[in-house]
Amino acid sequence: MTSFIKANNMLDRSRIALGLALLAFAFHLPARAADVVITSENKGAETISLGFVDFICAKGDAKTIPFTPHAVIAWDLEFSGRFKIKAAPRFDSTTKGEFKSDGALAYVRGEYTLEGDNFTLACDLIDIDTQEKIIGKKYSGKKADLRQSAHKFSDELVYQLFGEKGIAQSRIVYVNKRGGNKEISVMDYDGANVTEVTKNKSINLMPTWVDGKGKVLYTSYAGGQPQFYLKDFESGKNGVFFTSKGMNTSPGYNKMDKEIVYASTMDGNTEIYRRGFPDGKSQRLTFSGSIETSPSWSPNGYEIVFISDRGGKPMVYVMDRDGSNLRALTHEGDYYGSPSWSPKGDRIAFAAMDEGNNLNIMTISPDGKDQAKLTTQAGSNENPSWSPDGRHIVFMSTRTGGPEIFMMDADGKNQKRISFSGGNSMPKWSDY
Amino acid sequence: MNLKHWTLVGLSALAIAGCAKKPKPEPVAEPQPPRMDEPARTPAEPPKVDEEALRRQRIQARVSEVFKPVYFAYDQSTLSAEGQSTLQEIGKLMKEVPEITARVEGHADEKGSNDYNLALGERRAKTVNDYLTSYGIQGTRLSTISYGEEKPASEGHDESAWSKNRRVEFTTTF
Repeated sequence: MTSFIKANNMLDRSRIALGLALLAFAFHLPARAADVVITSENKGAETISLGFVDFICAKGDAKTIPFTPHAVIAWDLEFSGRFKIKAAPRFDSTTKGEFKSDGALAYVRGEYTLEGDNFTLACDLIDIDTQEKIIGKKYSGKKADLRQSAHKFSDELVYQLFGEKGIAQSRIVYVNKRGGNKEISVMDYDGANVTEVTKNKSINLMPTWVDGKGKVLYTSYAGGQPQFYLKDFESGKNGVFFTSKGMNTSPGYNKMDKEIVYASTMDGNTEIYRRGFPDGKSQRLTFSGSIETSPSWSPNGYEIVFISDRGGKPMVYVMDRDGSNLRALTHEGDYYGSPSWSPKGDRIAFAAMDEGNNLNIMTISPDGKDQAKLTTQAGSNENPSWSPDGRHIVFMSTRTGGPEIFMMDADGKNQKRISFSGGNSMPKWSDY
Repeated sequence: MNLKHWTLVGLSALAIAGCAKKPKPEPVAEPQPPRMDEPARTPAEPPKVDEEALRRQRIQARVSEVFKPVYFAYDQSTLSAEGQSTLQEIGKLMKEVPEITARVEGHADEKGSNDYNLALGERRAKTVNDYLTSYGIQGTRLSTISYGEEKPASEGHDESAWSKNRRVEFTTTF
C-alpha cells in the first residue's frame, strides 16, 4: 500500500458507507486499484490532485511530431474533470514541494522514443513520497498511433483511480463546411486527427455512429434525394445504405438491439421509423400527420425521445419502442429541437428556443422534472450529444460567429471550443 | 452539382437529353424529329433561323418570369395570397406549355433545429405541390425535395435574411 492510495482511501472511507455492491465490483479489479476505486463513489464531486512532469524524449527528435505526449495526457486528465493537474518541467525537491502543497500525493512522468516511423512510450504514476511506481504502462507502435497511446494511458489512469472507463479514445463525427459543400468528417474528441469521411461535393448531414467507432451512418444528397449512406471504417466502404421514397434523415443507433431509429417521408409525411441494422424491415412508429423527427434512443432501447409539432409547436415527446405510451416531456416554451438521451439514462438534453430566437442547450429528467439550462451565451446552441460516460456534452454553437463545435460538462460548466476550421456542426460523440 | 443526379425528371426529358448529346461528335446534319427540342444551352448552329429555338427562348423567358419563389411565415407552411397568385401564374404556364416539368424545393430559415427544418421544408414543398396538382397540373410533372436550412438564399442572420430563406423555389426543365 502506498501512502497515495491510503490517503485517498481513507478520505473516502470517512465519507461514504461501503455498499456490498461496491465491494463486489472491487473484487474484479487488481488489489491495488480496488482500494482506489472506492474514490469513484463521489460521483465526480471529488477530484484527485496529480503532479505532472514533462515527458522526456529519450531518443529521436521531439520536433518531428506536432504534439508532446504529456500535453495530450494532461489535456485528457483536466478535461475529464476528475483530476487537478499541477505541471512542472521536471521532478525535483522544489516541484515536489509544489505538488504537495497542491494536494498531490502522486505524479505522472514519462519517456518516449522516436525512431524512423516507430515510437515507444512509457508512462508512470509515481508516489511522491516513496517514489514507488503505482501504475506503469508501456506502449509502442507506428508514430501515427503515438497520440492514441497517450490517450490510452489517460484512460488507464481514470480506470485505475476511479473504476470507470475513460473517454480519451472516443471520437466525434460532424458536418464540416468544405468548399461551399457540407461534408462529413471525424476527429478525436480533443479536436485532433481530423479525417474526411465524404468528398462528394454535395450536402451530407446528421451523421451518427454505428457499431461503436466502426461505422458512420448519415444522410446525403449525393444521389439527389436525401437518403442514408454508410461509411465502414474497417472495410473503407462508403455508399448507399438504403433508399426509400421521399427522404430519410436523423438516424440514431441502439447498440442494445442493433437497431436504428430515424425520420422518413416514405409514406408521405415526416414520421418516425425503426429498423434493424444492418438488415431489417422498416416499422413505422408515429401516425400523427404532423412533423415527427429527431428521434433518439434511451440507452436501454426501451424508449425513444423525439420532436413532434402535433400540438402546434415542436415539443419533446417520449414513446415506447413500438410507438405506444406516448407522453409529452415539455409543456411550456415555443420551440424544442434535437433531443439526446444520456448514456446513463438519467437525463435528456435538447435545444430550446429563448425570446431572442436563439436555441440553448437544456437537460431534463426523463420524468419531465428538474429542467436545467446549460448554455446562456449568445448565438444558437444546438445538437447536444453525450460523451459515452455521460459526464460531458458536445454541441454546435454560433456564439463565436459561424457554427463551431463546443464541449461542456453535463452541468454546463467548462464550455470550450473544440473545432476551429470554419463552419462545423451536427457533432455526435462516439462510444468509448 | 446535383443537377446531373435528378431522379425524378420525366422520361421525355431524359429522351431529349439523350438526343441532345448524340450529335456532339458530328454537327447536326439530319433533320431532327419535330417534337425533339434541343436545349438552348447546346452551341448554336451557324446563322440559321431556327423557329424552334426562338420558341424555346420565349418559353425560357416566361419560365424565368413566372417561376418565382413562394415565401412563408416563420414555422408555417400555409400559402399567402401572394404565394397563391404566384402559383396560379405557374399553373397557367404549365398548362400552356405541357413539356415543362418542375422540381419543387422546400427551404427553411436557420432558426430552429436542422432536423425539424428539413421536415418543415418538405411540408412547404408538399403544400406547393398539392396546390399545383389541385390547380390541374399532373403529379408526374412535379417532384419535391427539401433542403431544410442547408441551402439559404441569403447568408445573413437577421429577419430580412430569414424571410428570404423561408421559401419554395423551382428548378424547371422543358
